[in-house]
Amino acid sequence: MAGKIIADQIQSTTAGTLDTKYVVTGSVKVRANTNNTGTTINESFNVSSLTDVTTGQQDLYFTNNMSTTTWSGSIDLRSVSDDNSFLDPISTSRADGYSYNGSAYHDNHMLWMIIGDLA
Amino acid sequence: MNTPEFQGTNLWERLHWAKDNLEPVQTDYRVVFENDVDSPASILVADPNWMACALQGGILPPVWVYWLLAADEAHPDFKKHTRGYLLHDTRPIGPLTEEQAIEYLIYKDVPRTVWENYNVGNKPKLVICNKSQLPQTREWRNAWGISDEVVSGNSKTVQQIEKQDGLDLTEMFSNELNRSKVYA
Repeated sequence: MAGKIIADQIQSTTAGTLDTKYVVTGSVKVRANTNNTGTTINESFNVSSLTDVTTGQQDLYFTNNMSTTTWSGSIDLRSVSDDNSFLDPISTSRADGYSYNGSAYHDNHMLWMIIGDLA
Repeated sequence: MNTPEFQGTNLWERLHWAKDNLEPVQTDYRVVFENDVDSPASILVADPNWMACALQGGILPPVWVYWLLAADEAHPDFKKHTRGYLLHDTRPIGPLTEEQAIEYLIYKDVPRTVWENYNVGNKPKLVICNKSQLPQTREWRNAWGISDEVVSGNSKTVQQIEKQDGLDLTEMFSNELNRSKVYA
């Protein structure tokens, strides 16, 4: 591809030098913005599909697998509510997102970020 | 726009190229499936950027690559993928129609236990429909299921992917399964 720069380090004029491997390793590998019912992906990268499993549960599938099933990530809900969001790393290609208030699940817009090494 | 020659290019980089150069495609198709008798029906929708890649061709790996990685992952000793190169080095598939893309996605993202015998039983465990055919509200969402009136006449099988790619997939997959003992 045109415009490729191959470098092992980036140097700032004031803040020192950083190995580019940290940029690659530390960048978000999967991201998505999904609607409250899990039926629409508004914005995404490295996502193949979304499944509306039931009330308050959505499953996100990746195009490029992660290397391990112990990847890190975060999921947030778009609106203020009593619900807590949590993310379950099911496999190297799937994340399950939940919206739960301690007694019941509720539909919510979900904002996803997955970090880790790619396969 | 022509797709660059991507065989050997990291899939992650290909997805960046697609994001920069292809318009997302929102499909009207939905895949409704029942994973087990105690759970409500699940509804799968394709990602618009992924669908653009599938229609464009030359970007996505063949679906069997994901099956092999899944078999690796199901092995009890699995720690991390050591065959990620399959995603990057295997020759990408050509352009698909929207219908073929949905079929690919079923084989990739719907549990194998659902699609390999989806049409055995009193009613299919999986149907493809349009968005407009789904309930218009979320009422009783946790009780949704595939209607008893649905009858599927689709007889497409996994073997058709083999023919398409000229692979002896049955043998390849069988070897992986025997090794991993996942579905044995």
